[in-house]
Amino acid sequence: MAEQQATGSAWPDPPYLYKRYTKENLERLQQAKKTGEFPEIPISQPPEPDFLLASLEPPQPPSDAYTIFDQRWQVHEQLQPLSELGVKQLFPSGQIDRIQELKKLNRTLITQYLDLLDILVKDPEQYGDRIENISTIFINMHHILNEYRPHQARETLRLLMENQIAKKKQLAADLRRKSKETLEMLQKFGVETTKPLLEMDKKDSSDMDIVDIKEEPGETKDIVMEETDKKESEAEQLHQNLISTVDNIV
Amino acid sequence: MDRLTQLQDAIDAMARMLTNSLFYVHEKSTMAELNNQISIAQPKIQADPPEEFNQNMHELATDLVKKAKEIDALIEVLPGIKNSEEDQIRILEELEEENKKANEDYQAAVNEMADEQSVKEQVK
Repeated sequence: MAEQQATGSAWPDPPYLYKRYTKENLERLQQAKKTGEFPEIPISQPPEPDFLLASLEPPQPPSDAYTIFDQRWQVHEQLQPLSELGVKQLFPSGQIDRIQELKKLNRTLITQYLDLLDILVKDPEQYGDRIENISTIFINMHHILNEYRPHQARETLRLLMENQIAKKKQLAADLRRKSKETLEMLQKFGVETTKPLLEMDKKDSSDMDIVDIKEEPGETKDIVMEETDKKESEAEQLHQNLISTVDNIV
Repeated sequence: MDRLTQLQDAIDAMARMLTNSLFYVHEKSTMAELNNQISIAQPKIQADPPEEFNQNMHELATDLVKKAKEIDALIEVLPGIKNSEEDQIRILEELEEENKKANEDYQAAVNEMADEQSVKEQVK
C-alpha cells in the first residue's frame, strides 16, 4: 500500500533514538559501566539534540505508582480505606462483626428511604441530605464486602486443599485394596491349577499319563502365565491411571 | 455462584429498586383534586388508572421489603465469617502438612505395589 511515490516508505519511521547507539557510544557506555561513573556532559551528535550517556541504559521500572492512559495505578494494590475516598465511615474501625454491621446498615438504608419519601411529601427541597445519606450507606456496605474478599479467597483455598487430601487418601486406599485383591486371585488360581496336577500324580503312572502329565503342567502353566499377565497388565493400567490423576490434581 | 457476589448483586438491585419505585410514583401518578368542587382540568396523559396505580405501588413496596429480607438472609449465610485472619492462616498451614502426608502415603502405596510384583513372581 504505497501512499506516496516509490521513494517514500509506507510504514512509519523507527523512533529516532536508535541513532544514539553508535559503536563509539556503546564503547563509552561499557567503560562507564565498569568504572561506575557516567559523564555529566551531554553528548552532541548534530543534527540530533544533546543527550546524556546514562540515557542509553533503559530506565528502571516504576516501583511505587505509574500512570497509564491518564489514570494513576499503584504497583502494590490495596483496598483504600473509606476516608481516602472522602466518604464517612459508618462502622467502627478495627475488628468488626461483619454480619451485624451489615444488618444494621441494611435497616438504616430502609429507614433512610422512608425518610426521603417523607420529606418529598412535606418539603421536597430538602432531598439532598437524605440522598447523600443513602449513598453513604451503600458505599459503606460495599466497602465491608470488599474487605471480606481476601478472607473468602483463603476460605476457597482451604476447601480446595481439603478436597485434594480426601482424593489422595481415597486413591491410596483403592490402590492397596486392588493390589490385595489381584494377589489373592493369583494365589487362588495357583492353588486351583496345582490341584488337578496333584490328582493326576495320584492316578496310575503309565507312559501316556506321564506324557499327559508332562503336557498338562505346560498347558496349565501357560494358562497361569496368561492369567498373571492379564492381572499384571490390569494392575499396571490401574497404576498408570492413578499416576495420571495424581498428576492432574497436582 | 458465590455468596459474596450474590450479596453484592442484591445490594445493587436494592439501589435500583429504590430509584425505580420513586420514578414510577413520580411519573405515573394521576392528578389529585385540591378542592372538592374544582375538578381536574388537565389530566396527565401517561398516568396509569388509579386502581392499577395502587396495585403497582403495593407491588413495589412488597418487592422492596422482600429484597431487604433477602439481603439479610444472604448476610447470615456468608461462609466462614467467624474465622479471623490468623485462624485461617493457621488452618491453611495445618492442611498443607496433611496434604504432604497424604502424598507420602500414596507414594508408599505405589512402592508397595511395585514390590507386589516380586511377590507375585514367587507365587508363580
